[in-house]
Amino acid sequence: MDAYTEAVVIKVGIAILLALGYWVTVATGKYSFGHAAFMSIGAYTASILTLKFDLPLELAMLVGGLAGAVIGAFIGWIALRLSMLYLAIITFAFAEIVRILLDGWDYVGGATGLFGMTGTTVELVAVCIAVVVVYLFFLSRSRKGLSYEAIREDEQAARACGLGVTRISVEAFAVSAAITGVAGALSAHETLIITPNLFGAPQSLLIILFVVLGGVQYFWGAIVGAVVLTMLPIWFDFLEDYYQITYGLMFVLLMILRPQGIVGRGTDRRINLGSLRELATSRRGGGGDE
Amino acid sequence: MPALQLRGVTAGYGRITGIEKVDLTVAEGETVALLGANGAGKSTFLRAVSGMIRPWSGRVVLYGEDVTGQRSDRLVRAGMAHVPEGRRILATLTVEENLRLGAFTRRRAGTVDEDLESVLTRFERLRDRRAQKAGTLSGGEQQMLAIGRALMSRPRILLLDEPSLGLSPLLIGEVFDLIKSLAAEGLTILLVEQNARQALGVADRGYLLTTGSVTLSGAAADLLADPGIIESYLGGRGARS
Repeated sequence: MDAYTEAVVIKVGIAILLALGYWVTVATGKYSFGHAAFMSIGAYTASILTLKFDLPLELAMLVGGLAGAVIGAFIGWIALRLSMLYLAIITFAFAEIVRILLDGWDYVGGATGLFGMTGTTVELVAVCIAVVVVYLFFLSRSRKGLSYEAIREDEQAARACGLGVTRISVEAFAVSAAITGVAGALSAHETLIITPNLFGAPQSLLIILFVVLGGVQYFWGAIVGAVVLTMLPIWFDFLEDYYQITYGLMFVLLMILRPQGIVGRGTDRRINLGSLRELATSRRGGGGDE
Repeated sequence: MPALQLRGVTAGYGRITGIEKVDLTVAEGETVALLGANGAGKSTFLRAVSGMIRPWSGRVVLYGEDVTGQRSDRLVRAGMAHVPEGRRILATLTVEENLRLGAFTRRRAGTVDEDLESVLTRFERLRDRRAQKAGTLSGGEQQMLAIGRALMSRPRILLLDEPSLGLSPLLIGEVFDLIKSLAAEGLTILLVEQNARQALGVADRGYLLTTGSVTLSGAAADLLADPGIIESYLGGRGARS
């Protein structure tokens, strides 16, 4: 594999990891608008550990994921008991705060960031994806997976069944943040340099798009979305300045033609409308009924 | 010890008071009907009892344990199952998955399978459709599924919120027959209904809720025997069944 192909494969692999991580929280119907923050927490944690403490990347990456999980659990605990709109605002604001804090923190280079991280290999990324896919495969078939689906479908009904909705959602959010943190660590050790601005709102949006484009129903939809969205800029490179507008148009078309994403059953148009309705009418606990 | 006791419960949304100082008791093995017209506060009442909203004041006591403001999952564990208004089945999940979710708070797989079997025996129509998406069921079947799901948690007390809502008269009769047979098996039931005559037909006692307060209570037979009460408070709704 030549260096270029390897770089593309790693890029796609990290995108897949980000999409799968995000899917875990989406599986419970909770959309974060600041997932890039967990990416940056993982990236900075791991980079500090490899650069300043000479830890191997494999270990630093896991610590980065753990940091993501802990902070994710905290943010989830604050935001997930509220309605979807609050979750959107809190996660978005949280990502901005993380970015600004890193920007002013000299130890990690402030706005100029950290430089010199290496070590991400195709094998390492592949192992991470494999672990996550196996986890999600078993999750989708487990009692816990069923509870995620129930919460995504109807939180009140899930409550009536006796599901601890908040606890389950927070747990999913923490797992999601952990995977995203690992992806961030891998991405830092691939790009050589990280700055706080790499993990701003556009990156958060990109992660959301992976999953929305691919379809939220099955986790492999997220994989499809990540691959397509990462390869598109490469395939459509020849469009140059017209790229952005083509990209935008493509999304509009897709949302009209296949609102459920590339992967997923056609009749589930409801999922999108339902979540919008919920956003508009939600009161306490994201009820959205009556 | 009563199964469920409410003492001076006041609850609502935002600034709007839904129910005020409601006192209510359900004894073990008893079927109690809470009646009231649309907007009388029936749903607020059930939400306050089942932990969907926190009461502003007053106490909810379940089998001697103060459960005021407890989340639904705790209440289910404490033995109270709730069949919410509008059934709230999980449409994209299969019938069997819906039923299994009802037993989510219980861990022992063996007993869950047993209960699944007994629910499917009770609702033979669900057995034929166990692998089908719950959203494809008819209204009556969905109501059966919702009740079956609640039974899967092995409740000591069952809360039913408007089980007759949106069903044809024939199916309403079926649902009330089912409630009657559950009561006969010794299950404690709190039934919240607009369909006063039907509800009093299966209940031991009834409470009448008018604009958020209990204005009348008594033995179901006494309430039924006085058609003036039903007509004056409920406008004769649900009569002539």
